This record gives sequence, C-alpha cells and structure tokens, in this order.
Amino acid sequence: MNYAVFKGKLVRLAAIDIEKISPELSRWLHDSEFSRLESTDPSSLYSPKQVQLFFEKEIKDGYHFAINTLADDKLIGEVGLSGFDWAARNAWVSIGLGERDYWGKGYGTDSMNLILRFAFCELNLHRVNLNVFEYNPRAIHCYEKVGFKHEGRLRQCLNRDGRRWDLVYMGILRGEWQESHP
Amino acid sequence: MIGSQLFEGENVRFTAIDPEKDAMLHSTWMQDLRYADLQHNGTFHHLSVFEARNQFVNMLKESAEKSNQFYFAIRKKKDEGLIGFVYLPEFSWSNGSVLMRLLIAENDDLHPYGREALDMALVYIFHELNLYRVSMIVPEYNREMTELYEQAGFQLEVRMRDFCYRGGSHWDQLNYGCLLADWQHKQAEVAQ
Repeated sequence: MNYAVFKGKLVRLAAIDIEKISPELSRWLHDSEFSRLESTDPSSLYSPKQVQLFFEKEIKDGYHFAINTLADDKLIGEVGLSGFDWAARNAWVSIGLGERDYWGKGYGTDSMNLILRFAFCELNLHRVNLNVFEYNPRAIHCYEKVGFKHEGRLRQCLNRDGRRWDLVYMGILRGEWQESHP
Repeated sequence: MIGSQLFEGENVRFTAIDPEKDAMLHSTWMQDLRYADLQHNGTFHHLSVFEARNQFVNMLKESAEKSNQFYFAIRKKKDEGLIGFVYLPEFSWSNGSVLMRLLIAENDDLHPYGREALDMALVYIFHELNLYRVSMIVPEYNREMTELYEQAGFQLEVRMRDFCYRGGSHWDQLNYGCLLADWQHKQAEVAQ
C-alpha cells in the first residue's frame, strides 16, 4: 500500500489554489508556443480574472491538480482528469507544463505517472484517454514512455502555420498500466 | 450549385426541429439503446416527453444565440414522417472541423433515407459551411452505422479500445472522418 499517492520523483500533485494559479496560467498562455500545444482553439490572451472564471467552472468537472516541484515547491503546471464516463470507467487526461525551464527534463513524465496512478489505483478507472497534436513529438514521446498506446489519428484536423496536422489519439488500459507498474 | 436546394433531397427533407411535435417520438426512440448511443456516449437514461421537449428547446435556444450549432429534423417527403435528426453540435471553426451526429430511429430507414440524409449533410458541411473535415463517432457494435458511414465516403481513423460499456462488456469506440478531398473523390466516382 502506497500512501503517498500524490508524490513522485520530481514533482508532487497539489490542490489548485485558483488565486495563485490564475496569474501564472495567464502568463503561460502569453507564450503562444505553450498555448498552441494546449488547445485546438485559436491562441488568445486571457487576464488572470478570465482564467480564474474558467477554472471555477472547470474545476467542478473532474479532478484537477497543480504540479509543484519537489525541490523547491515551485508551481510549474497543471494536470487533470475530466469527461468521466463512470459506467465505462474512463476519463480524459490533460497536462500543461507552463514553465519552459522544466520542459524535456522528465517533469511531465513524472506528473503523468502520478495522475495515472491516481486514475487506476484511487479512481479505479478502466482506461484513460488523451489526444495530442502531431506537432508535439515531445508530448507524444512522454505518453509512449508512461505506457499509452497509439489508437489512430483524425487526419488533418488542425490548421496551423498554413498547413494541416493530425490529431493523435492515445489510450492506456488498466491492465497495461498494471503490467508496467507491478 | 447556387440555386440548388440544400434541404430538399429526393426522398427526405431537412426541416427545423419542432420541440412540441418532435419530442414525443424522440422520447420513445430514446428507449432504444441503439438510438440513445447515436445521441451521446455514456450511461443510458430514459427521456420523458417533457425532458425531450426541454432538450430541444435548450438546443435550439443555444443554436440561435451562438449561431455555431446546427440541428435539423429529417422527414420523409412522401408523408412528412419524422425519421431522425442531424446534429452539428461542435465546431472548430479555425480548423474547419466539425463533429456530426446522425440519429436515425429505425435501421430499416437507413436505406435510402438515412444515406440520403447523410449525403445532404455532407453537401451542407462542405458547400455551405465551407469546412475541411467532419468526424463521426460510433460504438463498434453498430455495424449498420459503420457501413453507412463507409459507403458515404468516411474512413475509420481511430479505434478507442474498450471506451464503451454496454451489455456487460467493454467495446471499442470508432471515430470516422471524411475530408473535403475524400468527399470530392467520392462525388467524382459517383459521377462516372
């Protein structure tokens, strides 16, 4: 029995403090590379107040956490499960690391491992779903590493920088996660 | 194509949904799991006539306010009999992409009526809304629907393993897609 379900090797999942995260997310979204990895909606700029209103609505649906580093408890992103189908026992996972200094260093992978452990060991889900943009190979690699399998792609679903990109679908089943996390 | 009728087919027509008149059938049809699946994923629940009416009223209100959702009733031309609905509930305008739901109550109505409605919806999507692609979602066990999509030019794009739960088992959910180019190719094939 592992009691420290919210603690990983590099990060911990923390409760979202809406007043604290809203100005940070507002700042992260100003980085259009980040916002173009986050959403299929056109990148735009949002005030801390707008972000706060969004979070207040969003947080009611599902489980959302702040990602804090273990080293200095710095808030670097957010991760969450939403869109639950409790009968089929699945949910959609989403993650955003807003602080660029923490990209490509294992923080995303550690966060994903934590949210999957939460999904399978605490919520007892049967599967977890996600989609990711073809132009985000760093994220795709991270998802493959934690055990997600490719399940197909919506062809040419995105139109950015004057060309078309696929929307990649991935999923992980309970049994697959258990096999890789005995 | 200007001047051609978007909402009039050979055997069916699209009309506005009439919440007062159409709620009764929609409520009855929702008792059929196959039909309920076509409307939404997830747990099945009955929809009273009152709830069905309110669902329509809310959908149409949102559609009128936001102008970014489209809902049509599908009726047989010979007797105006309602056979189902076309929903276009989720657009991504900047990407030229939409999710479509085609609700046909009886499998017996899939040919020719359902197929004709699907073809009309594709004309609307590509020639009126000027979109680049359309997606449809269906559980793997609904073979009649997957065949219909494939015949209309859709391709299977994603198989979400064990995504649905029905009748004591998990089933895959299938995502189908049709690009403008797929549709144009299909049109050219038919014309030959």
